[in-house]
Amino acid sequence: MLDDQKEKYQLLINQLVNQDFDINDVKSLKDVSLDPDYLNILIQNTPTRYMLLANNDKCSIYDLMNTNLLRSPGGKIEYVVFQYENLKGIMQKRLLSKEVFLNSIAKKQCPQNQKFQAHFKLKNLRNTLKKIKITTPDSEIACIDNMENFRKDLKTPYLCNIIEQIRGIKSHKVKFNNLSKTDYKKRSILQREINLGQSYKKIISTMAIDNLEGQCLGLNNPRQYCTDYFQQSYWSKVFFEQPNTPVIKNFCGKLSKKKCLRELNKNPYYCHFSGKDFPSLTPKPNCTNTSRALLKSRLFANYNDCPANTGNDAVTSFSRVLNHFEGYLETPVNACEVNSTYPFAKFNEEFTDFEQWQIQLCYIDTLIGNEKVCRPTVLGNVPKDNLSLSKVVGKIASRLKGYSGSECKILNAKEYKPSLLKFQSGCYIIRNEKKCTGTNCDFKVMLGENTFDKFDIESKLSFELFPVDFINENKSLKNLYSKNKKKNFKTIKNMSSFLTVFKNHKQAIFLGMGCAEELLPSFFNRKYLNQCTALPFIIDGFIEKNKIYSLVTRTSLDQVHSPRIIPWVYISAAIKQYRSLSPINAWGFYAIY
Amino acid sequence: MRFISFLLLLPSICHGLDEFITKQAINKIRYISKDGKVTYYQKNSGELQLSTNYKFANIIKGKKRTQYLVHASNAKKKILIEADDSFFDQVNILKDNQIYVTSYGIKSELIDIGKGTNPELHLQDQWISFYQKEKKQLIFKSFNPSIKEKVITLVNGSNPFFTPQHLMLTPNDVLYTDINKSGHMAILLYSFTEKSFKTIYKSKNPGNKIDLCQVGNQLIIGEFPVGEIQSNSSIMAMNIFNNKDFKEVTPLYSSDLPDFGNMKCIDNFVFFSKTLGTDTDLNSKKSEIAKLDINTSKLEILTSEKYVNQLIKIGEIILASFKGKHYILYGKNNVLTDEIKKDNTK
Repeated sequence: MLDDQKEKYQLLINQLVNQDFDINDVKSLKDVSLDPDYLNILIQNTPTRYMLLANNDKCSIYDLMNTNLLRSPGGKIEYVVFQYENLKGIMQKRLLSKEVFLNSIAKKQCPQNQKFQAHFKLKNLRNTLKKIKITTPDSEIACIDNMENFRKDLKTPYLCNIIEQIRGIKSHKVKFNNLSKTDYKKRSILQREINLGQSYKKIISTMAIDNLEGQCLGLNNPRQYCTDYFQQSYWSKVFFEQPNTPVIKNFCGKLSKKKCLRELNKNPYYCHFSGKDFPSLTPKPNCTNTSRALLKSRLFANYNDCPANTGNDAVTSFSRVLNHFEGYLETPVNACEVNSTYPFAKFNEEFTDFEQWQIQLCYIDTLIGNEKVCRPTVLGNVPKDNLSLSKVVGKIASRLKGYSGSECKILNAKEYKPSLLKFQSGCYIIRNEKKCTGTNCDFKVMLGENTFDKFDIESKLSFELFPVDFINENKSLKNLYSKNKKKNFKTIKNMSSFLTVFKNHKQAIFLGMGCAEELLPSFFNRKYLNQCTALPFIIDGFIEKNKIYSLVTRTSLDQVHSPRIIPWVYISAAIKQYRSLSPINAWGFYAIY
Repeated sequence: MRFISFLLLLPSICHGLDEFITKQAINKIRYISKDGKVTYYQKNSGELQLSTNYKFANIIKGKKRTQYLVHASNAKKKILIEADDSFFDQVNILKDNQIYVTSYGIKSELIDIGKGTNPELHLQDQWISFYQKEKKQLIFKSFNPSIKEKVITLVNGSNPFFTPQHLMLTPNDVLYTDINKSGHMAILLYSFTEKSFKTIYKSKNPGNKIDLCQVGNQLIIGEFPVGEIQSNSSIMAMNIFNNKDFKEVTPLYSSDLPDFGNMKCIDNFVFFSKTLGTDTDLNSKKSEIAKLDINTSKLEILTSEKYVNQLIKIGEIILASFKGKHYILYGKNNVLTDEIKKDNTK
């Protein structure tokens, strides 16, 4: 087809090349127009992204011609074929060299073009660029708006020409090197092109080149450009804006930041097994999809959790809701499971008198007639909070053994070295790391050199996330939270109600319960009839393509920084299957706002 | 990648599949025999009941809203029951449930096997195996009280939520799956007499899953990508016996697309969820159930519903579920045949 075009183009030029043109024979210069056949050939040889710029006004096509973005089958345009009405009223078709046409006809039709062009001449470019604001969008929506403005901007062909000139340096160099040294003419043309590109490069910053290149190349698909822009730049953005954020700690571990950033940006598989300090379901989503999902995500996640260590999947998900809306987790703690259990315990302390957080240390208090006393406990260290294991053990040791400190220090078994002097006094809680979760833990207490074991741990965590009968429905976490924190729980049965709530309530997140076999079919293989592995999940974003949706989903097995992109069809099937087992046939998917 | 368009050209075969129809509400049924005469079903009150020959019996009475999973092998001598008495109020995937065993199809003594999950019957129902998630241990128990229980502790340094597959070849040799630290899944052969392990198959990529099933003397191995690792899917056959170092493997099927797998084997066929197209933007797969003939490697797509990814094997029937209904992919549904057979022995 291109060969065919080349032939047609050449034929057109050959037909007209020897025909004279007298500008005084033109009836009206403003009515001179490009020949339709000629224009058609140019349209087919010019990248679509640049043809879009021809629609801005009637002079735009001359801007494209001037900036060499409009292309003939042979590359840059040498001749312009145009039509006009002569003084006798007869339509004529003629040809001029591009320079002559622009200076004699286009200049008369569009005098402003000529002035505009002057601003982008090499000698004026530095000053011109100072006046142009090249913006970096901070959201995908802002990016799409930027692109729309960029497309309408009359400066755009000139800026894109600069970018094309810079982009061309590499290929021009290759061509130059392949040319015979005696081919002076071609070598000189290429050298001029290379020099021009390099001059532009010296004037414009690398960041501006990157931005403009993306914008010029993305003119015909701004939505895709913006999606890609944020997809690629998410990790860089996080590293730049929040270098010490928990998401970096999770993905980078002990890797240097520079090396980690390179892995995250260049090696999508890196994310599948990263974050081993925060155990969760693996393989995790790849880095590209993690980045895409996190960019669409609105859940508060300025902490690390570790679903495999929480000890209860509903606690993992419900704590994410609490951490999103409430301020229980002012300062994330080092023990990742406590970032899930502590907010849950605090909510219970506030509204249920620990009815659903029955994890406590119990002892016989000899000072009050051998009465059994139990203290609700969070199995980890939460500085300054009375629920902290370190505080609770300290208080019991103080009561029963006269320990003078207010708390005990929590250590993992590997860290406890009894032969060292510092361990021969004070109070130490030594955890058996392999047998500890957020809801149960095997540990021993050393008071100086003596074991202190006058207490028992009682762990019973029993609660319903959503109601399963009508008598006790007010005891479900959903109803307790809704009532005490005045939160709306709206049942979501389809995508249209999801989108309405999502768009109208900027803080809204969605909590659901489904069967893992439908939600994550790659991971969970159904073996038995009506088998359902109950799996709570949170949704806080969506991706749309041709009115089909996938949602940004964190199951309670996924680390908080590793959301998965899951099609709505899987999610609705998972909720439906779980409902079939519900004694009250309840649809377990709610918007919370 | 765009969805492969030939999907649209497939005939709507699902309409040709028989719906699996039962007398009781299907969401209450936990096991049903091919002829429909033996049915285990549960009630919200916490009972698991057996219905047979127009009679019913309580098998177990658990806490209110206990959820049961019931399984029988082809030998149909025993029935396995996994009871989760805190399905709604202790949502914890790492929780072990109570496992029981009793005789198939009759009310008889209920034996408490212990805490665990994913139980299986082996070797003509002479053995049971199950997995204890908390301890990461596979337990193999004989119903002969004189044979000592065998225990294998998994390595699994990669996925804390992994549940292994396990099958017994002989009373002394078992096969099971495990994952190493780099995320590679493998099939291991363990000999109780020699106390030695042998890796008989290792996944090509970290994060790939292996599905296993046994057809006669052949082990059918499926390797499928999990999550978003874009790699091939494959199914192969391996002779279990007379196969030195398990090097002889016969490829049966391969695809460039990431299948869900979730394989089930019956007679000479492998049923699995096959991906016919992917959409990377939406991270979705269009998947249908495929039937693979082990002898000829012939592949047949059985459904045309776009998102079918799970199969269930109940005795001699293979079912697929979609749009809230169960369809029979293999085996005949005689459940609703109420006629009483003539007793020819009289």
